[in-house]
Amino acid sequence: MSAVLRIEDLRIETTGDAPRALVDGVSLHVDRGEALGVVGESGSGKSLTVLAALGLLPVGTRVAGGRIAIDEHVLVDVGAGVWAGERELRALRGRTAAMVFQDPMSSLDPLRAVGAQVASAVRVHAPMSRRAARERAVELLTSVGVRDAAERAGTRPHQWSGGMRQRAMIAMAIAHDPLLLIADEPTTALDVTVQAQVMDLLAEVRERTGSALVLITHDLGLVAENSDRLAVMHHGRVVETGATRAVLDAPAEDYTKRLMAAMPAESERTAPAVRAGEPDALVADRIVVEYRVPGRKAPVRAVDGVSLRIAAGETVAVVGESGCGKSSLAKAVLGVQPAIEGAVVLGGEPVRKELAARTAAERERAQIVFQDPYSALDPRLTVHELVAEPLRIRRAYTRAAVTKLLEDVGLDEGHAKRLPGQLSGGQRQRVGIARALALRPKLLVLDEPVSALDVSIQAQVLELLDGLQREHGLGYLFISHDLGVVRSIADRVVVMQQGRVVEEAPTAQIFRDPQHPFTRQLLDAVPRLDGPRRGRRPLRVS
Amino acid sequence: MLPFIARRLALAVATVLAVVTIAFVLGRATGEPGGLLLPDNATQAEVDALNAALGFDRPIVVQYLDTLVGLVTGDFGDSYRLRESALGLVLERVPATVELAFWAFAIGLVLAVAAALAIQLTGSRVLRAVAGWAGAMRQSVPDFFFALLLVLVFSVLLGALPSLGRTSYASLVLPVLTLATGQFVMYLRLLDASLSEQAGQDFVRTAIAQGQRRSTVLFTRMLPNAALPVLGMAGLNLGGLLGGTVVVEVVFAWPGLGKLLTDAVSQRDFPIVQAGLVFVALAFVIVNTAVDVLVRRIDTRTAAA
Amino acid sequence: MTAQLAAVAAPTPRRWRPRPGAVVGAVMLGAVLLLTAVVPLLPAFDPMGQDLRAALLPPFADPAHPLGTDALGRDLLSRIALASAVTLGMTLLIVIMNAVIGSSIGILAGYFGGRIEALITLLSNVTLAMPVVLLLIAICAVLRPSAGLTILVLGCTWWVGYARVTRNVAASLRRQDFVVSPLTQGGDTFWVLTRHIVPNIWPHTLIIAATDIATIVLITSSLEYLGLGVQPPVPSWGSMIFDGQRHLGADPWLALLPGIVMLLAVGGAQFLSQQFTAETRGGLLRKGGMR
Repeated sequence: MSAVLRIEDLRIETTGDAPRALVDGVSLHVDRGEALGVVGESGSGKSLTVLAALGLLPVGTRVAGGRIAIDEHVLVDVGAGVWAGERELRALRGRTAAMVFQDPMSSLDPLRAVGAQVASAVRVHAPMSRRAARERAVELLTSVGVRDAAERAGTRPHQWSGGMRQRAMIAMAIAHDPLLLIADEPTTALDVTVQAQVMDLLAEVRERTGSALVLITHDLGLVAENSDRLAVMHHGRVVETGATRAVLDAPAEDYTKRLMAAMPAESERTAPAVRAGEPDALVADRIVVEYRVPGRKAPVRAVDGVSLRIAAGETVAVVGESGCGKSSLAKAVLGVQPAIEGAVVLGGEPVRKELAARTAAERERAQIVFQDPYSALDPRLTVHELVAEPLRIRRAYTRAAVTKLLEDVGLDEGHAKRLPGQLSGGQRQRVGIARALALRPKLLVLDEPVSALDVSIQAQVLELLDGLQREHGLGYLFISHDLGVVRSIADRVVVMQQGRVVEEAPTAQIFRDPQHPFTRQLLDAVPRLDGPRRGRRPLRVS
Repeated sequence: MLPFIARRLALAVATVLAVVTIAFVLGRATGEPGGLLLPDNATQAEVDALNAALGFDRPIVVQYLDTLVGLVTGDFGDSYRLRESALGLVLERVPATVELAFWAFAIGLVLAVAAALAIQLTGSRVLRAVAGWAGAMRQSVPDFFFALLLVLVFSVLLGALPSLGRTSYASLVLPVLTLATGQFVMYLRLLDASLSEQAGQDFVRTAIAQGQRRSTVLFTRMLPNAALPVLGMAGLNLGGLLGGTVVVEVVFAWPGLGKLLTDAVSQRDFPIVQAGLVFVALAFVIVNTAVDVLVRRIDTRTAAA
Repeated sequence: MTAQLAAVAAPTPRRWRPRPGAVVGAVMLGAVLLLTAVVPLLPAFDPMGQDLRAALLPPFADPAHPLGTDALGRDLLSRIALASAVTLGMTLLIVIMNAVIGSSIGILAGYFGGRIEALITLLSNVTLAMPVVLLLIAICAVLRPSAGLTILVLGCTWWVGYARVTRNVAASLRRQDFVVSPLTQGGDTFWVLTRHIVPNIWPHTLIIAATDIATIVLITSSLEYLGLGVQPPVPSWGSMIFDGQRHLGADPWLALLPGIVMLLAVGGAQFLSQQFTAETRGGLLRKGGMR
C-alpha cells in the first residue's frame, strides 16, 4: 500500500550561528485514507514536522536532514541532495495535500469575502471562470454545513462565528479532494460543542473524499476518537507510535503513560475537604451583571440572577461555553465588574458590590488566580517581588513570609530571583497561586487556572490546589469550560448558559445523570480516551 | 456608518474652529494692528483712526464673532498692505502649491509602492539594506538643506536646471525632487514595515498552503491589508508635506501659498495669515475626513466592533 | 504555532548585540558631541568676533581658522560648535518636555478612560488634524521669535505621538491581570500607577523620544532657516545654512559644513534609535522551495 505522506529521519533546526534541533530523527507515514494522530505538548515539534512536509516552515527554521515524500513524490532528501522547488511544491499544496489551521479567524483574510477566498482556493488548481468558481465555492460551503451559503459567501470573516469560519477553512481544504488533509489543532480555538461538530464534519468529508488525515493535537481524547494510528511526540522526537487503540490500551513508553495519567480522571473526588462549622466562603444572592457595548443602546446582560453558595473547603465549578457569563460572575464576586443587583457575602460578612468601595480587609477575603499566566504577572518583577506585593500593600512584608508562601506552592529560593519570562507556564501559575494566598483569603476564584497549561502540568497544579484547600480550608470558585478537569476537582457543578444557571448538582450526579439537555450536550462533546464517540469510526479505505 | 461620519464631521468642524481661534488670538496677541502698520512717527490719533477703520476698537468678543461669520461667508477682510481681499490673494497662490505638493506626493508614493513590492518579491536583503540606509540619510537632512544640495549640483555645478522661481516645467524639477524624495523614503518605510508584518500573518500562510503563487498572494492578500494603515497615515502626512512645501517654496522662491504666508507673517499682514491658515486647515481636514471614511468603508471590522 | 515557537525560544534570553547601523550611528553622533564639547575649550574659540579682513576664508587655508570664516570673518569652526550645542540643547529640552507631557496625558487617558480619555482623544485628534508645522511658523513669527519661544511652543505641542502610544499601552495594561490583581488585594490607583503602569510605559516613551530627536532637530532647523528661533548673532545650523546660501556659487562650504554636521547628528540619532525599534523583518514570504 502506498503512503500518502512519508517522513523519514527528519531533522529541523533553527537557522543562525548556533542551530538548535527542534525536530530530530522523526519518521512518520500515513497510508491512503488513514487517520494518523500526532500528539504532543507545546514545543514537541509536532506542528513543525507537518509544516515542513509542505515547505511551510516559519522563517528562522529549516530542514537539516531526512527525507519527505508526498504521494511517493520526493520533496526533500537531504542525503541525496534533493530539494523541491517552489513550483513543485505549489502543484502539491492544496491539491494533493491541504491544511486546516488552528485559528480560523487569523487564517482568513479579514478584507475579503469568505466566498471569494474559497473561490480563489478553487481556481488555483482548477482553471475556470470567476463565476463558475464562485458557484463551486457556494457548493463547497453548503457541503460543509454552512446554511444560506449563497448569501453568506459575500460577507467577511468577522461576520462569521468561530465554528463557521473553521467550516469555511475545511471547505477550502477539500476543494480539490486532496489525498491528504493536515489539521493542525483544528478545534483548539473553539468551544467544546463546536469542536465536536467540526470533528464530525472532518470525518464526514473524509468519507466523501477518501482523504487521509493527519490530526495534530495536544488532546489525547481527540486522537482517541478520531485516529487509526497515533504517534506521540516529545522534545522533537517520536517516542511511541502504533495503532491508536493498542497504544492507549497498553502504552509502552513512560511519557505516554504520563500523558494518559495526566488526563483528567474519569472518577470524582473521593475525599471532600468541606469544613463544617466554619462560615461559608461565599454566598452570592441573585447576582445581575450588565455590560455596556459601544454602539448598542441596551446593555448586554451577562449574568441574569445567579445565586451561589460555597462552603469553607468546598470546590464549586461553574461550567459553560464562552460568553455564558461564568467569568462575569467571578468578576462580580470580586467586585472588579460590580453586580448591578444582588448581594455578595464573603466569609460570613456582607461586602459592598464595587471593588473600589470595599475596604482592604474586605478585599482580601476573595482572591483570584488568573487564567493566563502571562498577563497575570508583571514581566519586570522577580518572583519574590510578585509574591511580596500584596504583603507590601498591607505593610506586612517579611522576607520569611514570602519564602514560606513560595515553599507552599513548591517553588524555592532559586525561583525567587527569576523573572516571569524565565519560568514555565506551570511555574508561573504557582507564583499566581502563592500571590493569591498571601493575604489568607476565604475564597479563591480560579478562572480557568489550568486551561493554558499542558496536560501533564495541569495535573500537578490541580494536585497543588487540592492540597492547599485541605490545609487552609479554602472555598474554591472554579471557572472552567473543561468538564474533564472539573470532574476530578469539584464537589459541586453549576452549569451556566446565557447568563443563567440551567443545572446545579453534586459532581457525581451531573456526570452520571445529567438532567438538562445542554448539560448532556456538553458532556457528549468531551473527547474520551475510550474510543470513538457515538459509534462513528473514522473511515478506512484500503 | 452614518453616526461615524457625523462624529468625524463634528471633529472636522472643531478642528477648523480651533485653527480659526488660534489664528485670531495670534492676530491680536501683539497688540493693536494700527500701531504695527503705520510708520513709527504716526500720532496716536492716526493710530486710533486706523484701528477704528479696521474695526479694532470694538469689543474683542464682537471681533471674534465677526471672524467666525467671515469664516462662513469667506470674508477674511482685506490685506493690510495690498488692500485686496485676503482670500482672493490666497486662492491666487493655491495652484502653484498644489502643483508642487501633488507631484511630490504622486511620484513619491508610486515609486515607494514599486520599491516595496520589489523588495518583497525578490526577498533581497541587499535591496532592503540599500533602501534603508539611503532612506535614513535622506531623513537626516531637512528639506531646505537637501534642496541646497540639489541646487549646488544641478544649478551651480551643472547649470542644468533653474534654482529660482516658477517659469517653466524645468523649474518644477528641483522643488518636486526635494519633496518627492522625502515622501518616497517615508512611504517606503511605512509600506515595507506594513508588508513585512503581513508576511507573517496566518492568512498568508493559508493562501500559500493552497498553492497560490507568492506574487498572487502579495498582490491580492498582503498589499490590500498592508495598504490600509498606510492609507490612514497618508492623510496625516499631508500636514508634514504642506510644512515641507512652505520651506521649499522659500528656498526656491516658488510663488505659492507658503511663500505668501511666510511673507505675510513677517509683514504682520494678519488677514492673509488668517485666511491662509484657515484655508490650509480646511483642505487638510477635508482630506483627512475623506481618508478616515474611506478606510472605515474598506475595513468593515472596525464598524462591527 | 507562534506560541509554540515562542515557548521554544523563551528560556534563552537574547544577548544584546549591536547592529552595524547602531555602531555607525554612535560614531556619527559621538563625533558631533565631541566637537561641541572640545572646541569651546580651544584657545581660538571665538564664535562672535568679526574680522572683515579675514572674511570668506576657505577651510584649511589659515591655521587660525581651521574651517575658514564667514562673510563677516567669524570663525566657522567656533560657530558650528556653538550652533551644535545650541540646537542639541534646545532639542533635548523640547524632547523631554514633550515626553513628560505626552506620557502623562496618555497614561491618564488610557488608565482612566471615560470622559478624560474622550477629551484627550478629541484634543489630540484636533492637533493631529491641524497642519502643525504651519501653525508653528505662524506662532513663532507673530510672537517675536526667540530660542525660548521655540522651546516653549514646540515643547508644548509635539506630544501627540507620545500620548497616543502611551494611551494605547496604558489601556492594554489596565486590562492585564497583573494590574487588576493588586486592586483585589487592597492596593489603590496610586499604587497601580506607580508600581505597574509607569515602569512598564517608560521604555515605550524612551523609544519614541529616541526617534523624535531627529524630527525635532529637523523642525527647529527649518524654523531657524526661516529666521524663527535663535536670533543673531548666536549661530544655529538653520541660520548658518541660510546665510551660506547666498554664497553657494563661490563659497559652498559656508552652507555645506553646518549641513554636514547636522547630517552627522541627525543621522547618528536615527541609526541609534533604529537599534531600539528594529522590527523583525521577513515572515513567510521568502523565496525558494524546500531549501
